Amino acid sequence: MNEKKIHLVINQQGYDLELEPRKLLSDVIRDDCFLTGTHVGCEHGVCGACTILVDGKLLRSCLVYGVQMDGKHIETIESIGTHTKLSRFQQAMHEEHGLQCGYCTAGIVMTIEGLLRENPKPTEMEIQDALTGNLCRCTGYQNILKAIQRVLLADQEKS
Amino acid sequence: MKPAPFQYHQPTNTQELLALLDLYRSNAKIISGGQSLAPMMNMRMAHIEELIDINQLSDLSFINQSQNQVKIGSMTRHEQVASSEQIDKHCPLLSYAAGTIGHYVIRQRGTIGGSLCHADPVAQMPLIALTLDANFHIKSIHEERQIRASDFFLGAMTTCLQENEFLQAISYPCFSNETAWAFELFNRRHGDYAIVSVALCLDYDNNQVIRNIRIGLNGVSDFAQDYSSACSSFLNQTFTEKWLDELTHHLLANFSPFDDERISSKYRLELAKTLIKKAFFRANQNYLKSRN
Amino acid sequence: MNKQSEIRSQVGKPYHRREDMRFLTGNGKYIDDIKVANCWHAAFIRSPHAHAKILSVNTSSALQINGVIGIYTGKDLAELTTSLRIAPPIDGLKPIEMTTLPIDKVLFQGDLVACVIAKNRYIAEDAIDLVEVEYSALNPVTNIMHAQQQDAPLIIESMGTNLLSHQFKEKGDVSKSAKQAYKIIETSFSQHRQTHLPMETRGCIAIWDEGNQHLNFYVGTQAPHPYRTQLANRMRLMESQVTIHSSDIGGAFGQKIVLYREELTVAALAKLLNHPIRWREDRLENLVGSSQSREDICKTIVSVDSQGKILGLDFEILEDFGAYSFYPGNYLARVVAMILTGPYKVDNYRYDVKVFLTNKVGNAPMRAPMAITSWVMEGTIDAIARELGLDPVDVRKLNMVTQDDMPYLMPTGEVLCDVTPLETLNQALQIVKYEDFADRKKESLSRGFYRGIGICSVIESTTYGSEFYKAAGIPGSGHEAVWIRIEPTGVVNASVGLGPSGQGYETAFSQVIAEGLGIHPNQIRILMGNSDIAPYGMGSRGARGGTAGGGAFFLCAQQAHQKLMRIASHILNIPLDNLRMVDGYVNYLEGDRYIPTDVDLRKLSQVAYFEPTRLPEGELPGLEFHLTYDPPPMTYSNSTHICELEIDPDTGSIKIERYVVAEDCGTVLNPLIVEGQQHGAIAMGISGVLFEEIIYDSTGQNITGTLADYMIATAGDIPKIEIIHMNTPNKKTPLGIKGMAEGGVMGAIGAVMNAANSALSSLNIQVNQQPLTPMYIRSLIRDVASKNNGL
Repeated sequence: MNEKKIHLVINQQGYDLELEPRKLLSDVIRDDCFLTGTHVGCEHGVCGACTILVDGKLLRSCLVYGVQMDGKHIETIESIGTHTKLSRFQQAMHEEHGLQCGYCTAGIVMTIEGLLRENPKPTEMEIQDALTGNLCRCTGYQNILKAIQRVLLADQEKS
Repeated sequence: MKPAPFQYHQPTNTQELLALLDLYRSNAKIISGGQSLAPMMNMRMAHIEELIDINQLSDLSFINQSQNQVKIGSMTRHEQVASSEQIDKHCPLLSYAAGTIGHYVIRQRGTIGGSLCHADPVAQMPLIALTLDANFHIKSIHEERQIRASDFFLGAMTTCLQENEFLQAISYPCFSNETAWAFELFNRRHGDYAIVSVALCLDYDNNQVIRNIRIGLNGVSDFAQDYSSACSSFLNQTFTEKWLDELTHHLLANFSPFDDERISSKYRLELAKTLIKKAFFRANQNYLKSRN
Repeated sequence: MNKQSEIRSQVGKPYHRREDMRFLTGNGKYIDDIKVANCWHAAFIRSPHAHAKILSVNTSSALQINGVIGIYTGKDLAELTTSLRIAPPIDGLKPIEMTTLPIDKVLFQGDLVACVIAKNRYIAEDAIDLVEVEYSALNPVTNIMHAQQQDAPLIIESMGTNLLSHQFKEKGDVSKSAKQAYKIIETSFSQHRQTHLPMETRGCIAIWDEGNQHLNFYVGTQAPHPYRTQLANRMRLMESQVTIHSSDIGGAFGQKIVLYREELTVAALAKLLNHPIRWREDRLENLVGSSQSREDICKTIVSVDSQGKILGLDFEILEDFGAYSFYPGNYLARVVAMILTGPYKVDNYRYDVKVFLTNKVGNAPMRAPMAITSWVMEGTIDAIARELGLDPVDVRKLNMVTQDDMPYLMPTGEVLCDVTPLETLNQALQIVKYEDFADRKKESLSRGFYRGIGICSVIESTTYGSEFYKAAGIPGSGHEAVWIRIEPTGVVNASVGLGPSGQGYETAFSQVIAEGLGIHPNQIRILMGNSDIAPYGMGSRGARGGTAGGGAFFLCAQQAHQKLMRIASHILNIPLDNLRMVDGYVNYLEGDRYIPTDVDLRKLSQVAYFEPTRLPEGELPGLEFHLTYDPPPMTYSNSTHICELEIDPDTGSIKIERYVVAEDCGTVLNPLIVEGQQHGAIAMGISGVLFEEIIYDSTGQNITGTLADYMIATAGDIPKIEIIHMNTPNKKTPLGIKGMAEGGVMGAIGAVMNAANSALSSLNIQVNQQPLTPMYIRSLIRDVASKNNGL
């Protein structure tokens, strides 16, 4: 058939896959690699729920085809934290009640984690510029912003 | 929304790319950032036979400043253009406008070349290219050519690129110390496409006389347009409110916005008027500040 | 006598949610996360026409594609399922029937024509591209005005009209009050069409167990049991042949309550083909083919005396219901009419409710289906103030129900009690510094902006008891059901018939049960969503979860506590009245203090399960408790929202400068969760007023079919929301819970609209329609300017 063999690494685990070129990366991650933490909300790049990191850069996985990721290192929500050890931002989201139905949460966590890696001291405008790319229908964004501020304040106090 | 099947190619260098374009011609479609193309493919609005992924062509991602030009490779991501110190120094209108594209995440992936070739009438990059009279470096398997922005864009979603050509790089003129600029846009939400946007450069001489105006707008025609020539009779004067009123009035007569279900042409003209004034004030203020 | 102290040990604590862990780490279980080996996929062919006859469906090319299993039309589904008849015995509501999939004609752009089953979704969509459907286009009806006309095309020919439902009622004598009026003021209010847009679209998985002749159906639903009843009925199965599995839901807001046609189709085909089938609605389908809401046109005619006191109120509402009745047609609009008067004293009141069918997708209740109510009433109050030159606050206070007036019998027979509208109004006015508004308005003007302040008082009907349904002539019950089981090791399993979609029930209900039992919440596990496990409940909607579910759990926990104490009393030989469970240990009263014994819940449980001969006389073994609770006919929550905004006259854009709400939602189970609900509700209201808009053009095409076109508020659009909590318990519900979750939507709509009106009043402009797009605001300013210029 039309399938292409690729090798990619997700959360430090290698996957050898044979994919139809048109298969969206979001579907590859969820169906072929069984990592269902990355969610699909729109498949046209607007809602941000499918956001992941590829070679350290933020990316909407619904706008990329799996075959484009040959040789890439992907990070998804499952690598950010665990039940026993959440990342600082995840912990802040938990303490500030920054999530309700949870569907947009992985995309938001990835976006903020990605932002803070590149820009550990974002301004209010920079935070807004990143976060406005993630749609949330439950929280009104109030507590998500509080969670971000909490992390930045803790950073400030540390230094 | 899953795309229809296509053949996938991933050239590793420019020669391979050119050969593929020459082979597949009208059936070929280049994907760079994919932020515009992928949604259309997913919605099955664009039917692609041969998808050519140029993300491996790292030599297409560069920012080189020399003499009086900044040359930018077509695969340079919007975020790189927006945060480039070089571009901020030599062509700040471009870096600023790039920073207004979508959101942080979109800019990590979308490319300047992709945006220019997609030629969306509401996009920032075509507007800036036209306003600054940028030079487009085009390559095919047999030929290399350079054309001006005004010749590159043929209209909404249409460029002069031939079937076997691709956009390799774009050159922008360096700003002088006497150039003030502004970029004003109006949108519904942060990151949305602008309803109307204004890109402006003013060249002053030592006596605060405005010697040259480069001005372009999105949203008042069917595509981005450079209205610099309409300002010719207003050159060699100083900035005053009266001068600006007259210039704005004159410019408005050049616009031909359309009516649609949600936004009237009247609204676009009013918005244009407000944004033009804002742009001029801002540019002038920045100029005065830099003088002190 | 058991000393129940007013100081709560668990209820009211801001515990962090236990749900968070799985969502934060990517371990949630939404429908699409459930793996089913070798599962086929469904996709639907949808009509490009708003109104058309289906002449033929040619599937021959599509069936050739490798991986396509079959394509099924309305005729096929009619053999496998019954059609749906909605004909509750309600005056003025016409019965309506619809087949599982349309057979003769399609009624909106995006309506269902056929179902493709294929090995995966990609192939299914390839098949859709090759199916040829022949239509004969009919003229569409695209708005209420057209729907009303005599010669308008009929959505349902046999109905003879597009008027689906018409109710009117009068209390007192409105005409007489009009004759006595100092002034009669007419105001109109028009709200646009919106859609729920949960971040997770609809979807389901159907697994038919041929051996057991049983259907396992995975779907995210707010009401698992009523859903099961519908599904079994439509498939002609016994109710016990169906199990609904509802795990995590990515938002619902009313879109995920009833059985949809797509879901029924998937279930029926899974049984027919004896093969698991799943369906995921994509976002375009969700925007075009799921459900929509809110499109109402209202008018009030109020008669007032010279002081602004309301003598009589006439209310008319027209609702655009779309083409299909997934819910009884009167259901949504009627509530608006019934609670319209809200916190105001109105003796003479008349309402007229008309609901129309049009060629748009059918309506479903959307978080605060009565959302327009507060805007209409508060907008009417503001109109009175405007016409008579009075302060809008004074007009409110003059007409408002006070503590002395309660219980107040509203003209529609609703009883208002345990609400504090005047108190929240005063508090909100104080926090926002209402008296200094004029200064702020001046300052804004100096920068070229028009500043406005809008007040919106909200009386939110949260929980409907069975008596309410009976009185309103709506079939159905308002009760909720729970069970609590204390396991032999002293941990607790508990269940309720609600379907959560982000409200934090697992956390809040464990606090309620912990309160009633005297243990810590982390000992308690809440099970929901499985119709075999959970007791038959009425589901999660309105804001009934807290009151109906929480109330039931508390009463049940108290029952469990009583049995535990009877056992403890017998074992410890201490009088029952002196005993109480505290922090998981039996405590006895000494003087006025409780002293712990070493008998914990586990010890009691071991006796109950494994040493029943040690139980007191007449006490049965085990610790399993079941309870149903029917709340009062209506429970109300109240709040006052105040919004200040600036309008840029050049662009028409609005920026909210301040948003304050004083709210009284009774006893709060978990303040973090309650505040989160309020944030979400207010955000949805603001988003609706400023951005959201479903637009059907004149040919019936939905031109807002992507997220680029249907805009919702992002993080940059919602201001900081300041909430002042003022909580008076309800005297009739367990723990004094009132519930809340929708009032925020009502308040935000009213506050923002009234603030816009306030801002534009200096230009003599009134806004009476939504959404407040910059283009609309600008057009109003432009029209006034051109009038002033004599053009």
